[in-house]
Amino acid sequence: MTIKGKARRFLAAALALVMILLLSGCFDRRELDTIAIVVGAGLDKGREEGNVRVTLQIANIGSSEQSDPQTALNEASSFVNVTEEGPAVNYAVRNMQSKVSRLIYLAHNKVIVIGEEMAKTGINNVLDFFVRASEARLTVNLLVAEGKAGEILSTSAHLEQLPGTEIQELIRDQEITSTAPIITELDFIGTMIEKSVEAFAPLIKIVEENGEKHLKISGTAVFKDSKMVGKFDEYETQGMLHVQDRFQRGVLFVRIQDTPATIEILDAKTQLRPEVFTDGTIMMHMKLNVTAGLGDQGEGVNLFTPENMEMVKNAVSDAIKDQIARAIEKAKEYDADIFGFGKKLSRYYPEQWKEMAEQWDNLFRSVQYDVEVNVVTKLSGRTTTYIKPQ
Amino acid sequence: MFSFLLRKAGVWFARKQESHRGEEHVKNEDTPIVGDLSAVLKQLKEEVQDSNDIVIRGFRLGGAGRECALVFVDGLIESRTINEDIIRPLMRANISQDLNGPSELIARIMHQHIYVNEIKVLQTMEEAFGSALYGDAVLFIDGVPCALSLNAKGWEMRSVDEPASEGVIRGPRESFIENMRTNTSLIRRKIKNPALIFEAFTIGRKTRTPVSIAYLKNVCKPELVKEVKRRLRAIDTDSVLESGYIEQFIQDHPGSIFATVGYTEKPDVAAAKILEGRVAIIVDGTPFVLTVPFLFLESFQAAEDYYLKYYFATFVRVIRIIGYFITILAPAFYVTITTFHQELIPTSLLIAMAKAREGVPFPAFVECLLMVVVFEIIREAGIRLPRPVGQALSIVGALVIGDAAVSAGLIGAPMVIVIAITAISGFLVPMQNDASIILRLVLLVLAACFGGVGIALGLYAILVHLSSLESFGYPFLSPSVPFDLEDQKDSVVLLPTWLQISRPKGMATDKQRKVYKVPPVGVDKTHDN
Repeated sequence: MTIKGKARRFLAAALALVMILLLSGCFDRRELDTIAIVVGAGLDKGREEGNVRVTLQIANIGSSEQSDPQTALNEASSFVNVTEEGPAVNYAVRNMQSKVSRLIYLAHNKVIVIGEEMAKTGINNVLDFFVRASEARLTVNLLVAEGKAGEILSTSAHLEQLPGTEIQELIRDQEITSTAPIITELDFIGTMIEKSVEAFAPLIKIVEENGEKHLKISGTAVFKDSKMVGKFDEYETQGMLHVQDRFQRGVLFVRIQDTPATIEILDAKTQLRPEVFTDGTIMMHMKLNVTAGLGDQGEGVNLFTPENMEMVKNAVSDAIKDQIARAIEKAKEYDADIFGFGKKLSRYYPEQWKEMAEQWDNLFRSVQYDVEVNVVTKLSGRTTTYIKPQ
Repeated sequence: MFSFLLRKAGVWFARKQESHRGEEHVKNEDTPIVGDLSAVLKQLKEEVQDSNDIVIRGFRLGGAGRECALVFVDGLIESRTINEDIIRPLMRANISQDLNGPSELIARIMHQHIYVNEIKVLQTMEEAFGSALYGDAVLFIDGVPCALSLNAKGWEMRSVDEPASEGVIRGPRESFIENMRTNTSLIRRKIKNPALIFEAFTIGRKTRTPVSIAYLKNVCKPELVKEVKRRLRAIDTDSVLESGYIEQFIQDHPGSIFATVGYTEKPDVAAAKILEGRVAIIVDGTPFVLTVPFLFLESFQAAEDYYLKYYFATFVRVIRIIGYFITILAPAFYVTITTFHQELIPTSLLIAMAKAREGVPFPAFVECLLMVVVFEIIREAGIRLPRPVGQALSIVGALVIGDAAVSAGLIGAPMVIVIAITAISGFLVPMQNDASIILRLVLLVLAACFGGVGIALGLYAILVHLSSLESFGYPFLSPSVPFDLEDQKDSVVLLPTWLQISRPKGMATDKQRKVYKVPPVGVDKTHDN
């Protein structure tokens, strides 16, 4: 029997539908109670040479369900850390599966923490897995631990349920402190694979206070190629962020005529313009537009008067110039162009850059710069003077 | 495609039955009424056998004149009318024998002796039967070769009540009832215009159900009226007990799950649709009046929209559309994101959901299917059960499904939320409820098997299907597809009534205006008048 007309069209459409559906299929179906939700990953140097120790933090779902939530918080930890050593990350993670009853699920990973030792030996090999695995997101935050990454992940969170999310929240706080850069895995790899700019990452450490362990994010780990070569403290980090135009908000402490004051940097914009002179000198012109506010002040002169505000502006300007100078000098020490000076040059002087690129490491050390800071003051809070006991 | 198969099946069944029927199919020839009363009565008795509700009352004109017989159905007539206005004057009549033939006698009786508002002269026995069974009294007179149908209708019926299915906070509260005449009067009271036409049909070989179509002359397109009449005349069936019977016969796409014929219980809605150029079909025996053509967007419109502020009406319509998507998609979406696309859920929610699912023995799909079916069971039971028992049912349903099942670990708490919102959203669009339930299940299966791809494909198929539908020649998705900017004034958005200047373009004949003059704003300060 031949099939004709409408029946034929019907059959064709039905077949097409079936074929489209079969392209998908339910092979990747996984129920919620069969996955181990990873919320943090740590990478440390292995005990054996060339090995990597992978620590995955898995949200503990089973523990706090049945019993009532208040006791559950105290009794069982809200997370489980699993560690496995291996010659490569993927190998270790796959081996780890035999210790974890549920399927390791990386899509909800929040942070990748890299141990200091690991960072110093180069991390391009260990990051490969996180770029390759389609499940893992490239937007996870990347940090370098002062010490072991495994220990950072084992420090129990105080306000959040999971250390992974706590670290993520701490990074988010840098939007208002600007004492460490906010870096995603994607940013990091982007700067690592580029010649004209070097990679950097925030530093995280454990601080002990009153016998309790806390996590603290402060400072920057500076990379040269894939290896960590040094650290910036918070002061230098702020300078670095200014040069990079990544500074969002932060505070500065200044003394003006023996009056201590906290200045809030509410907004900072940097314009960076390179200039190559005929003798080959490379000059970086930086122009900063800073909006500052008076955060608090101690006894001394009232800073919130037009004349004294000028002094505040000068103090802020000087402080920022000093921060920038310190950052640039230190970066030169490390030979690491984390500011992307090379990138700027390649855009402004594409022809010269081709020659400069070869010897950029040497040239970077000789880069000169000038900084112009334009401060606008705003806000003094609810009062116009300080508390003056009489 | 599905309707194509159904049509094929229909033709096949009809052909199969053709051979069985044969002689029954032959239509009876009309039998004229003969002048001999005893012959007529014999014929009558043969037809009705011993049916005890049919009354044949014999008497003589003027007490001693010609023999007469009054035939009526007990219960369908008003005894007072029969006694006082028909039998009494006829028995007391002083009719001389010197009349020139039966026609003069009939005229005399009609003009002088019967105090009844509606009299028809019937020529055939079939007409006489029809008339009597519809509640008229039929008068046969010896020697007269015709009969008189006298309106004496009066039967038990429900009074006009509040609509059970379309509640309003603001707006008329009257509802259609089971009596067609009352229903037409309810519409007539809304549109006091001679252009409102009611045309009568009788459908159903056995039930002989009176059906009436209503439309506004000069507003409704003549082609539409013609098409409705054609489809109604084409119906050849035994019985019509509710407008649903008619709906199934006249809809464009019997195979589609979507309703392409609208219904309403409210006279104001029917009147509004007639005023827009639609045709209403009123079927005796049901309070549900059909309106055609019916467009998809009408499912999202309620009578009350037009009585409220336009911005609020627009807001509510958007809510209804969202509700419709929720009711068909929520279970499918939940299943697909929890089994395929966990990366789409925020981490904290994912952990909370995973905790809630901990220990649940079934896959999310089974869990969801279980809940959807259980809800349908409760809903169905709630409709059928007598009201006092229904309350107990809702308590049991709420406790067992909502709470106990979760604490027993049979289902996860998020699933209860999903099913609850699905169920509640379903009531926002009652017109498409039947379709929603089916779509919900189909999409759920697609989602469970194929994840997001399945849902996307399902929605795509639904969209293609919807765009292929028509209702009495009007694209089902109009005015959205094909898009008509002007008709958007009453679609998802509703403009103020005074801006609804023209009637829907395709529906009504051209150049018709709904609003003739847009009122000036504010106080008239000219003081001219």
